[in-house]
Amino acid sequence: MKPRLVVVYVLLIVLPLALLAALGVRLVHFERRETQQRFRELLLGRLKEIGRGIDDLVERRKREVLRLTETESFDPETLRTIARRNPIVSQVFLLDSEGNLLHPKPSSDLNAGERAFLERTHEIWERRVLAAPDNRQTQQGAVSTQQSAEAMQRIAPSRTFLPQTARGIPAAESNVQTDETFYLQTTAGPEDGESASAPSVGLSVWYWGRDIDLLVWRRLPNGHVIGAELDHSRFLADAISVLPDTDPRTDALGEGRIALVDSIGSPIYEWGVYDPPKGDEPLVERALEPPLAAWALQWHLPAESLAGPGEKGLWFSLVAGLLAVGVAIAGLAVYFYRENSREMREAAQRVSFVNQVSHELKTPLTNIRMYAELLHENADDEDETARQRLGVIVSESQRLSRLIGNILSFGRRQRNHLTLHLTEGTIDDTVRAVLDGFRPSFETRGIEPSFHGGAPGRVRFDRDVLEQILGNLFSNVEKYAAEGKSVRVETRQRDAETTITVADSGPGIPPRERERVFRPFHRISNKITDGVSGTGIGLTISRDLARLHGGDLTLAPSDRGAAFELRLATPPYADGGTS
Amino acid sequence: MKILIAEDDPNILDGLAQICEAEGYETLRARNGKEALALFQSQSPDFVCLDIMMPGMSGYDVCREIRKASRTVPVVFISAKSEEIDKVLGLELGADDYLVKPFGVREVAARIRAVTRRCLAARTPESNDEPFRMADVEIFPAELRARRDAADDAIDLSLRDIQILRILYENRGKAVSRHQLFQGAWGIDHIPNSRTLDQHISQLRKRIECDPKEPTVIRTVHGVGYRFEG
Repeated sequence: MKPRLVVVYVLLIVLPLALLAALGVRLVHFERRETQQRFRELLLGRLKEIGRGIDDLVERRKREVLRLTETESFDPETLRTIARRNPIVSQVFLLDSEGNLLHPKPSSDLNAGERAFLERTHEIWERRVLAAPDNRQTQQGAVSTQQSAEAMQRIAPSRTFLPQTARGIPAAESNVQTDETFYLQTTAGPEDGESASAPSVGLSVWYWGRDIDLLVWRRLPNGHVIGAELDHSRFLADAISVLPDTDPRTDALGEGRIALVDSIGSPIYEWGVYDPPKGDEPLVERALEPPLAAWALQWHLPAESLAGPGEKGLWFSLVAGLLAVGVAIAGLAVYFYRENSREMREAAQRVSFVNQVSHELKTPLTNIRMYAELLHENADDEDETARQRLGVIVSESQRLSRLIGNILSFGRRQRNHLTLHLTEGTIDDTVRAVLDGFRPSFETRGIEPSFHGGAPGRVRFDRDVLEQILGNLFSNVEKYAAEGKSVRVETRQRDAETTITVADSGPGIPPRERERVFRPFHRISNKITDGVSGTGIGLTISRDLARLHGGDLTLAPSDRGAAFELRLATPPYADGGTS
Repeated sequence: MKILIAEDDPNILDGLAQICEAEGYETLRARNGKEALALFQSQSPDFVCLDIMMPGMSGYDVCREIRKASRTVPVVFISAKSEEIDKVLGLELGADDYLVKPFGVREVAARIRAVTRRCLAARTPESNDEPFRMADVEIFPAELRARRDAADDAIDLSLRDIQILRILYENRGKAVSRHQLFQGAWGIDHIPNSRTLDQHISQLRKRIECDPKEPTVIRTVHGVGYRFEG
């Protein structure tokens, strides 16, 4: 198989496969993105359900604390008793309307718990965060409680630390501050029947470093605020207890690990069999509802879990499809190649057969032609009948010779085997010799040939090629231009080019046929009744041979008849060598 | 000049021999390659025509052997194989020309004359190579050509033509008998045939005479032979 054909067949197979593969990969990626997106949405839905338990816990604690603080007596001992009897709170506090801490009063005799409480929360009280709205307006740095679900305000520098990546804290706020910042996040609202502009209960989350304090409070009619700090440990334990004990291994979503993380992303509690590598980004993350919006639930999954069975099936289908298409195209390519090879083989066999037959015809034809010519040359001049009959045999055997020569040349042309063999000689001698060979048949048809030689120089040319071209041109004159009664052959030589003109006085060639006559198998008339034989390849071969010889064969303008102009590259003969 | 012709087809061999003899060459005939080589070695021909496809030893092989013995003797291949590669191979082996079947008598004669001209031009000039004039025709023996004063075209001549013309020229003013002409131009052992001679003279007149019916170079001497008036 020819290398060019191999490349074509490979491209024929590879290009469609590559196109299909590219489309398939894009489809798989698109499907994967879609699947992962749906998967994430599903996981987020699950996290939302899980987070709802903690949200409910916060709401439950808030209501419990509000119920606990429904007291008539606000003396310190009563408040201490409330804190002592209820494990869900660690400290009860009381503020006056201006936000001053009435209990536990820093200047009074405090127990260890109260001192620790003040230590954690003194900045809230100093800033009077929970002062009545009218009093807070004028206090610089104070934090207003807001009805917004995620109201947050920076209240003061502190010794504690909250990273800038803290969850739930707006980045713009975080970026402004240094690491000595802590936040109060308050969710507040009016009690039933009260106006929205005067919230009377609330739950504030006090972020200080990695820990939080949950402060539930109620504003009393006299402007005082009573509230309680939820016990941190108890709240965490309760929060963990409300988390579902789902084992991801048995979960429909596959193995993984779910983590409840604090405001700086450190796990508070996590479960699941999967142990994510350090720095592993969670597949999905969902922040809890305010006021615990800085906490989040994360779901870690192994990367391979994302390639679900559907995707694997898709890849399998893609590869199988490509293989099937590849096999089909390759099969088609093989089929067409075999068909093409068979046709080429048959065509080559036909050409080979014609060539073989032509070769086999040569030996008997040589004998017929040679002996006919010998007889013709030696015939008695007086015996005109014998000379005429021998002339016919000679003429027809010469025609048959030309026909065989054209068929063989055409076969070589089809195989691109036409080549030149230059030898030294004289163009005029060759033209004269060919013309002399045609004289008897010209005479028979009443055609008077005339030769005007202008190429006497010794040059290098392919004599066989020139003889074949001239033979075809003279044969055409004989067949088509006999009525003109004359043919003029003229040669000219200039530098390394020789021009031979063969002009007859016949009917000529119509303008629309001037190029067509050089096409293979084209004849101006194919009518058998025209009585002119021919194969239609003579001029085709002649033009190809002329071009191979560095020239051309064209129809020259002529007033009457057809004038063929043959140009040949004929380098002057310099030495005795041949090429 | 002696020509060795090697061809396995007896008819073609005979026809080629007739053409060469008509041109004035002595022929040596071989039916296969080995016979051709033996004849070449024993007879030392001046010229060799070789068919390529021969039983036993191909024309290429014979050519190789000939070239070992002589690098100058002209070799012309004759074959039905007309593929270019065959031509190139034959010429690379040292052949001087290539004749492709089916060929005509004139083509064979023209090619043989062309190769003979090259041989004559390559050898040392001899005294009888000098041109001589017969009426308005000048004959150039070394070129196997003649030229008529009134015409531009050169006239191709064979070795035999030159020999006939030289005999008539050397006996100018005298009648030369047919026997003399046969002896001089065909060789002493050739059986005289007046018809053969007359046909040859007739063909020669067509080429060198202005009017072959009123010849000025070769005139007929009835009952004797021919004469050049001088």
